[in-house]
Amino acid sequence: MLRVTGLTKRFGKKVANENISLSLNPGEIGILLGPNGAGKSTAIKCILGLLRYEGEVSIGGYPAKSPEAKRILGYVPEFPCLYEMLTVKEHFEFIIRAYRLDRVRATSYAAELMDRLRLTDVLDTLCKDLSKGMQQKVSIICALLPRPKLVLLDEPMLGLDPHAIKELRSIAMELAEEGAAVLISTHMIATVEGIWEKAYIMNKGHVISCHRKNEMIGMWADSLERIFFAETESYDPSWQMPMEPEEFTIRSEIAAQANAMKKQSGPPKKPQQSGPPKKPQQSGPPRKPQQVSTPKTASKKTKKSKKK
Amino acid sequence: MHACSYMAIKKCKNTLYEKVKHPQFWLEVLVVIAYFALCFYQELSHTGISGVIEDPIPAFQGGATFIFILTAFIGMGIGLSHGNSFFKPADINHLLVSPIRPEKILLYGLGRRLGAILLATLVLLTQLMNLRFYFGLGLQELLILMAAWFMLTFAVSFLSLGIYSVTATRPWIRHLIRFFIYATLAVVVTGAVLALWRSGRPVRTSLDYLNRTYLRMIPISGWTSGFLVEAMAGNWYQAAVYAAMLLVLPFIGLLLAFASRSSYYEDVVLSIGHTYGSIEEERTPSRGDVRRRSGKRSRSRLLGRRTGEVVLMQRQLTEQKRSLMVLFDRSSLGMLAIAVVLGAILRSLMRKGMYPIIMQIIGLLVLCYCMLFLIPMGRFVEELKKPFIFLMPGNAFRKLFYASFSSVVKALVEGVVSLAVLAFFARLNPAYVLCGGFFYTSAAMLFCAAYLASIRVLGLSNSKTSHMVMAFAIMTAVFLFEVFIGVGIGTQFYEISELLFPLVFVVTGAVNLVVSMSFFYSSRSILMYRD
Repeated sequence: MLRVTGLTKRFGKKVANENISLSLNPGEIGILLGPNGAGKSTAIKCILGLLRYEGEVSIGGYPAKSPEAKRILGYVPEFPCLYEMLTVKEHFEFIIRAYRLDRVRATSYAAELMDRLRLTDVLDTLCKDLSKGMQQKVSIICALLPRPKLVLLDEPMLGLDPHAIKELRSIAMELAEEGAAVLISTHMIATVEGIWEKAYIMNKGHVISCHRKNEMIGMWADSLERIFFAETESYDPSWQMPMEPEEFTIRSEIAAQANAMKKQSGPPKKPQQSGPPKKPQQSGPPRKPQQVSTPKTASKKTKKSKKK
Repeated sequence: MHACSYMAIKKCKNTLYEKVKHPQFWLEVLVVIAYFALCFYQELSHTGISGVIEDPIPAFQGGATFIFILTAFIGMGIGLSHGNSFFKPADINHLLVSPIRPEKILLYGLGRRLGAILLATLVLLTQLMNLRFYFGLGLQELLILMAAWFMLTFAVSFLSLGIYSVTATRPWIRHLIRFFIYATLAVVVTGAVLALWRSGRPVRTSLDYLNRTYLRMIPISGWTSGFLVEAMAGNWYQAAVYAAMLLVLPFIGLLLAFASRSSYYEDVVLSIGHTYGSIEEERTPSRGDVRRRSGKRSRSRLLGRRTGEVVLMQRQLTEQKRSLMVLFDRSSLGMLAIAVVLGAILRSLMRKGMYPIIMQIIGLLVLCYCMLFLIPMGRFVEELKKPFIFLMPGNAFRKLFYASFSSVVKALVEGVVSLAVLAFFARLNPAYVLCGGFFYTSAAMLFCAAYLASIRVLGLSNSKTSHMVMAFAIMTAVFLFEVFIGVGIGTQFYEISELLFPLVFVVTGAVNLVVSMSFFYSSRSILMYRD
């Protein structure tokens, strides 16, 4: 449904996304994880066709900027910006007209979604009078109204109440069951735990790893958070994974193999210390050896990498 | 109905319903009704063709050329704007991601900016009978004028569409077109100033100057005036050539807009600012841009020296320094241009025997009232929209005073430079520059204070226009009071020596300062809560 190959986005000399490749099949829920400034939102805006980019993006086989692609695309933005002087009902009517939807079906679907998200008695309210959370709910309904085949959610849980978060998670799962692909960009890992099937971890404009949930093994399978911290907190931009989606290797497997090899041919072990168990870092995804560095040494390191 | 039209109509309808609830709307309606009633009364009171003005047709054509130049450049300026002046953040989330074709969205975005042209057309329609009366125009001439106006607005609309779609993807063209506009304006204004310098009739000389044949070479506006002049003279072939030229350019603009497809989306997204990059980084790199890209900023040298309420002023000056120059910006250049034109007019009036003292007063008041429109765009008014001034601990009076102080310091520099130019052109007393500069600065402070007083009365949530109108009224009332004081003191000074007359501006300036302080003091309560 979504295929991104070699996506690069530059702002002047600044590289926001470099050589990003990702793919989502119908019925898959993918997540785009990364710290602030990792380039998640920029990547999503490129997929939406809002920004110019290098590389290829296709949605359902159509180029991302074509009206055909946009017809099957739903987008929940990071900031719920609505038309202040339109009512909620008029927003839905606008979507019905813009996407040329069947009015009866769309209206009943909107009513169902409003009911699920507990957005009642606001149909004739001007959007400027809604709270931020309510505006986000309207934004979500507007995105889902055309029953898109690809849904892009950019930090969708911001400002939502716990009930709405729960409902949104179940809506995402239902959409996936109906055959839609869902891509959720977030840095709030807990909100997507349990629903994801494919996770792309981004840092400093690169996709540094891709994980499939059904391929995760051992202790890494139960915690996305653990993988995220292991990946992002020791990331060096010069160290990249292969870019074709099919070529993404499951890092945890490599790590497990590497550890097994270390155990076989590594230096003699120190006698075991009593006390609390060590943090499970050594058996995790591959990472650069950790160094305790002062800010000075860190800046030296970045200078060196720049020189390279 | 198309989705965009549906949205536009609904938004207008809802906005109207909301406005009806506020008394300010009814006040505006009353003003508009009064204006139209006055126009119709004037039209009904004129009977037959009169031609009150001497040698009316060249005067009319000169005036029309001026309006055309203004309209064309405003239209081109609209095309040069960034996406944030055509679109709103909601458009990104709803329009740009929808399957609506990018060209239609562009037309919708442009449509929002053409309200001013529609308003100008309405004003023109109400003035037709006046034109008939004062310039002795017949029905054919009026029809030609309307045809020229519609061709101009049509051409300008589509040209601005083309300019926007091209410059959104190629920002360097934006600089080129801006250079063309400024260069043309500089040529026109310089020509007018030189003509005024030599002649003693300010208005007539300017109108005659605008009829020069070489001005018809200016694209769009020149061609429109060429069409008007030739058609009124009965040279239909030449008029047709001008009309054809006028219509070809917008057609090219339309083609360019359609060819650009969705490329302008990025400009919209970047200028609205909800993304990683910024529009600055897309520009041709200047030294400042390179520094900005590297993430470095030069040290402010202003912040951190003192603590307390004064940081508000220091922060504003730092922002001003980083955006343009510290004490002189684009609006100051506008004031300088006004001073040049005003100087030329005053000079010609002096030749006709006007008293220098009256010249001094007129010059200063015109500059003060021009400044009045710049203050609401300044950093002082912006400060009141941010939470810092409300939240930071400190004395409310001092906070308001320091928040306005950077505007006042800027006004001091701006006033002295503008008045120096005015004094040079109109050959006024040099002491006038210093004393007038003091008055101009105090007027800036008075306007800030009057703006605060209007906020205190109307509340922060009211529109900027309402605050401006009220501040304008307060300022005018204070000025009228000062005229009475000035006449009394001025006569005394004048009797001693004419050179002492500028001291009147120092005295009235001091009155301004006292009144401003009282307004600042009484407006402290607005910082207690924020609507």
